[in-house]
Amino acid sequence: MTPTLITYTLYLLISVTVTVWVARTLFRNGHVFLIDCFKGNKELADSVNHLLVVGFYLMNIGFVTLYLRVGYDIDNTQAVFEALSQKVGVVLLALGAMHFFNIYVFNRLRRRALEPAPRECPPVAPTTHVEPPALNL
Amino acid sequence: MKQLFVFYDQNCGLCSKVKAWVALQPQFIPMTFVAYQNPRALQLCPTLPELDPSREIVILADTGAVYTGGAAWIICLYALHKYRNWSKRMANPALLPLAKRTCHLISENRLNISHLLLLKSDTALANAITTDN
Repeated sequence: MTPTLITYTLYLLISVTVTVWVARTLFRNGHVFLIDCFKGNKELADSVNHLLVVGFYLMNIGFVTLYLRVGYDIDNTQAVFEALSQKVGVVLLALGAMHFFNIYVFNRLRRRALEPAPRECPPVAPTTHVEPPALNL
Repeated sequence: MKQLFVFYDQNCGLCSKVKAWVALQPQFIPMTFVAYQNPRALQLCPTLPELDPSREIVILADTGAVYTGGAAWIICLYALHKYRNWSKRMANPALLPLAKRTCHLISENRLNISHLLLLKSDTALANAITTDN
């Protein structure tokens, strides 16, 4: 087991674990947000929650796997630590960004859902006004 | 707003064609089409000549609100099931001037466009039916 392989293994273990943990946090706590947004419609909230989580996994696991490759030789334990710290650091920052983005999206959904329904009225103002027409039926 | 009266040009092929199309669309607000040359138009709206319906389309609501030109087209779209969202988009301050200019341009050249597209006006069709022995 070369140092490079050790780095890769540790990187994947840590990154995937943290990704799964963040995804489950979002899933559990986002559920409450979504039920509120969809006015108590649990099924719709569940469905949207699942969809968001799938998207989250796809984006993050994708990024983690793409970012795996270390472009240089890793010869000793120190290099393993350094490579790991860099890779895992970037992955955590990316996860953090996705996490806050998700919260932002939830918040937007909720605020839009809680707005009072706008009254339906014509989108333009009349050019002028006259006497209402005599409608003799 | 429970009813709309649309005063269109019966001598214009394009107007007649568009009127026929709009009349077939599912409507939120029922629209009645009256040619502005028709005496009924004056009965409904005595001040119609002042609004110059030969230049731009005029729509009268049962509330007494009058919409002309681009605004009239937006109200027309607003009244249709399929195009209500479009009317709101076009009323957006960025798009509204463009919409008004386009309507004005088409309105000014409506007779030429009708000839180009070989569209028969309501008057022409009525004459063809009544004078055909």
